[in-house]
Amino acid sequence: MAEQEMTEEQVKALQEKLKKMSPEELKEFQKQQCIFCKIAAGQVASKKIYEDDRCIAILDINPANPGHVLLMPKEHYAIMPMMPEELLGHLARIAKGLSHVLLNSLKTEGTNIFIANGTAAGQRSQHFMIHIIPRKENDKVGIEIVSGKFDEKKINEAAKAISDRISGKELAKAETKEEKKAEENRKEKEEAEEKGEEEKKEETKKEIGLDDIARLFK
Amino acid sequence: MTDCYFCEILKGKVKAHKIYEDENTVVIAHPEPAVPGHLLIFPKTHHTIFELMPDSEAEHLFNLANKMSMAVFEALHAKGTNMIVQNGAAAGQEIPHFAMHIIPRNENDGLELLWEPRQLNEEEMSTVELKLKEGCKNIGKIPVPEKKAEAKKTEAKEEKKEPGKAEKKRENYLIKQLERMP
Ligand SMILES: [Zn+2]
Ligand SMILES: [Zn+2]
Repeated sequence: MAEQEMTEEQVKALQEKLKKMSPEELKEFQKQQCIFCKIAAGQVASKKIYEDDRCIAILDINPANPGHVLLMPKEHYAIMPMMPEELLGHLARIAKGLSHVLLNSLKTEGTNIFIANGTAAGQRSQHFMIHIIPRKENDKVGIEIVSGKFDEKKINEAAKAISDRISGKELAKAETKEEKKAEENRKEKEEAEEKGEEEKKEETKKEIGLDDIARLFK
Repeated sequence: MTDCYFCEILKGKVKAHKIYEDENTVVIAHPEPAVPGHLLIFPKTHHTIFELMPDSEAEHLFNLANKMSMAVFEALHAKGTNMIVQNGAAAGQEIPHFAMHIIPRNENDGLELLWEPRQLNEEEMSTVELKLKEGCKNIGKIPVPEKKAEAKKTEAKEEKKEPGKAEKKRENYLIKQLERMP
């Protein structure tokens, strides 16, 4: 998608404006700016290949390969964490269906499902989307995951930090007896922290939203 | 499935740094990561490719991936995450067991995961569009390889967690079944 160039002052003014908006106003503002909302509403033409009540799939106009599909919710969500579980589940189902269609209809040999969260990850649109990219042997599409060279210690530290983060949250429902015990021990501590944690969560949510928009406009 | 690395991990024959596990899914730290914090999420059931996974597992895996990605943001102060599925050998899949990569990202981290955008002519685009439109008519109508027993198990599990949510899930399940009818 075409990137709009803005001067430093314009970016700053915009950021100020965004900060003063309520979450509802912010979403409305994003929608007005968003080409994909217009596509979903049928106000802008696109090569639409699939549509239901909640999502739409179109062809990327600058594809990695012919048949590169963009699947997105009709509702505007800037990033994945903002999406309701049910809707994300629906997208997962449709993504699977689309991948199947690419294999069948285009006789491709594989597909990449690609999601970018944040500009650092290559997210270019302000509207959350899932890329489904048909692949063939030696097609030279650059989606290659190459192992880096890192200290064992660094790798373990990162893994531990993520584990700790998860086990400190609701997400890690203990399944085994051992884990259950650990969970119980943890619970007391958690309960004390819960209130503060919740407030923090609220904050980070808002922050992600604002940050994200600001970064997208840079 | 003797040669499947993920199944070997599940059987405990191969060591792995497990990050999270539930009834259907496992998350491990990639043993040879692109960057520290690189995770792999895979279903416990051996499905070689995405298309063979039941809907319920796919839905669960994507939502779990979202939570893992948030944990990566928070724990590592990452500026972004990529979620990538390599579906089929031509797409870079090395282990014949469906998995999703979650890769923490930062500005100038040296990772190159993006493709070179191509420009197709109108005719090429239209041909592809027509073919896919036709194929997409079957989405939602393809019978999904979901075993009834499995579906029940998931429902029961949901109930344990949160009664209110289970109610909603059941509704969705009904809607899903309706959608599947031709
Ligand atoms: Zn939008
Ligand atoms: Zn396996």
